[in-house]
Amino acid sequence: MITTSAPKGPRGPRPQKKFFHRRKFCRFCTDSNIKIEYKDPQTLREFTTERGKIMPRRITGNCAKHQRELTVAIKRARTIALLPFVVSEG
Amino acid sequence: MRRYETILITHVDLSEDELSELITRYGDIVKGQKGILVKIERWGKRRLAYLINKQARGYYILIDYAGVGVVVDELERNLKIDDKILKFMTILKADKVDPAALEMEMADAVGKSDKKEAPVSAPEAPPVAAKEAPVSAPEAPPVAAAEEAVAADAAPAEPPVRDDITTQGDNQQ
Repeated sequence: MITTSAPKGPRGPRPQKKFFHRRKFCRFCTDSNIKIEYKDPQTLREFTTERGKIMPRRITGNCAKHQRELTVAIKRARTIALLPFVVSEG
Repeated sequence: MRRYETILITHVDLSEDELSELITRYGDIVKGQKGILVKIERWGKRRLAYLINKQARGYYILIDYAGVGVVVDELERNLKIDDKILKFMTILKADKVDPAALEMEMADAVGKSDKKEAPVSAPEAPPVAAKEAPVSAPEAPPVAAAEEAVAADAAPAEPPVRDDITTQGDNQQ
């Protein structure tokens, strides 16, 4: 129809392979207010999967330094039962 | 001297007397080994992420102290014996601690808690006191974040815990 061809016209056809790519960034580097702290399971939970596994850096985009700290914090929180080792139900 | 932090999980069904007795006992152990007791925080009852000794809930207590390794040994030895304790964990927070700086920090903490306790002791001016408390609370995190990480982690957790303490009417320090 005319309406569908109108927006396509000026830009031309979109390249097929171009999928949306978002730049990943380390949340702890950009926002210094967030502290990696084993006593704060709410924040740590964002970096674990629903199963309770620690999310890899390639997914969260954390820098190496903060990922190391985060890993220690999550493991400490697990030790003291603030975070689960594994979520088996569901 | 090193700075340590021990978290203990106790049974939820302990009475208030038993809890305060337990807290003073472990505080005394730290002091008895020439450690400096910085603070004891009660986090209150929480759901455990997994069962410990078939318990789904536990009462969290945090002991913040400084001392040499002997203090930790003695404290953990006692914790292992105590069957009211479900689990505990000790964390090394700082390798070198200056006792003088620690005293300063403790004095600050005492000053802050005095401010918060003021509304309880002075019922004549409840609206003013109520206004003061929220002002001092948001102030704490940025200052602490700038100065020291240690104080910062304690700050967000503090208000609920402090309330808990004041309502129960006992002061651990």
